[in-house]
Amino acid sequence: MFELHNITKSYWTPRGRRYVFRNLNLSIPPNRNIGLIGRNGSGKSTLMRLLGGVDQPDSGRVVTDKNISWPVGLGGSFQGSMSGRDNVKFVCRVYGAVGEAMREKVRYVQDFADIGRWFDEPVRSYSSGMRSRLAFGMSMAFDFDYYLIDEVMSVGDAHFKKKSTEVFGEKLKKSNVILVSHAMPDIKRLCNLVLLVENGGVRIFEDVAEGIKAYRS
Amino acid sequence: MQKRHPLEIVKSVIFALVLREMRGRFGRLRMGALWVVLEPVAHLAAVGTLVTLRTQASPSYEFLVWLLVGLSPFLLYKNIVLKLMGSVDANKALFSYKQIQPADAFIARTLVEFCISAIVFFLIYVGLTWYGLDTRIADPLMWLFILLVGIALSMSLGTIYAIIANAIPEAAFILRLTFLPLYILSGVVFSLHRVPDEYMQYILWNPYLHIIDLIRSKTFFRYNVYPGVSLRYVMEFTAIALFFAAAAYRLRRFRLMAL
Repeated sequence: MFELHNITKSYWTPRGRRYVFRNLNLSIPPNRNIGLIGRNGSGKSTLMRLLGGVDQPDSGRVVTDKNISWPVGLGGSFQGSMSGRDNVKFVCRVYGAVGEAMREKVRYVQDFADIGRWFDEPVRSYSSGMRSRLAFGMSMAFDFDYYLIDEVMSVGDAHFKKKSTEVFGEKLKKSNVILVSHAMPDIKRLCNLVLLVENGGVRIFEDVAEGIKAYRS
Repeated sequence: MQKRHPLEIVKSVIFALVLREMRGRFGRLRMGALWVVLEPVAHLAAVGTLVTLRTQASPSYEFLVWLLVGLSPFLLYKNIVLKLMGSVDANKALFSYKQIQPADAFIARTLVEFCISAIVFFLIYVGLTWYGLDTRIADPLMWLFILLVGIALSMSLGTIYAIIANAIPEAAFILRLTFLPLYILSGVVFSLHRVPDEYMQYILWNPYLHIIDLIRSKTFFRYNVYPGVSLRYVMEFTAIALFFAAAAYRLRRFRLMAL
């Protein structure tokens, strides 16, 4: 369950303040897999970050009683000069997984990412596909109520896609996902609620097909 | 996932960040570790040689010890402030893990700087003792206390610098330069005894001068502090700086974390 009360969010740009949302009120029913769709720059990722508690609104409140993952995206959150293994260890420590729990998670990510000896090379030398394997594997190693996934699944080769779909399907039996994607098949397959973000507003569609239609029109 | 106590989260985050910082410092180059030690040693050796050649030995204390107990706290303070200033940018990507807050990065960097500086100080200290200099510290507890007050002051200053540099990125360049005049005005290398009184009252505004001189006065059994140096001033300055740093941080913390 998520409730957004009077959310206003803006960013400073060199040409002044740009509002992404103004006085947004939204109530998302519990136990749904949420697809966030909308054009580039419409505020999908911002909404996801607000839901995940990573970004704070200028005013208003986001209420949830769930345990939410970090945003699993293509970009940052890796230290380029550290190896993949050390990055995984770092996140384990932050989440309080130490000792045997850490070893188990590192093993899991290593198996999942399946990038061979690159696992011990600095992350900055990775290709974007390898990065997304590592990022996705790392989030799968932890148990959350909601996974925030930002476009990661659309990268990667056929083999990885098959594997990630399998593992993710298993996770979704217990957990939920908030997915940002431009790949409508993914949205159709994984989500049962669509939030269409446009013009600083959010429209909720209970019917996924209808939401996609509204997005395309 | 089970719920953890907030303090437990802070503890594990700081631990993770400390290890990460250490790795960043030492990991990439084998030379990294050597350079961390070599830099202050080289500094000490260069300044020490220069000044020893120019000035006459004082009977009441050893010059190299005087230099060491002034220089290494000052370098520590400088590093803390400048590292804190850079820590927001360096850790920006990590703020997408919501457990990690800028304050954690500040604390972690301070800890790392303190540890490195303590190890280096200890090595040089042992070296000087072994060489045969009188390195006894007269009042170790007060010595340590004043050192810690200086660290608190530097953390506050570093936090304020980080917030300013975050708001006005161009200012970072100027802020980085502030430690150049402070280096001279704190009497780290050159004694300020010859400065006329009418200027001294302005120079005494600088809290680092007080701290460095107080540390020295607690090191040596017979040492005259500059007239006007007081622990009270340092404490008050630190309290006010801490207050401002905490208030500014409270107001600006989300801006620090924003991408």
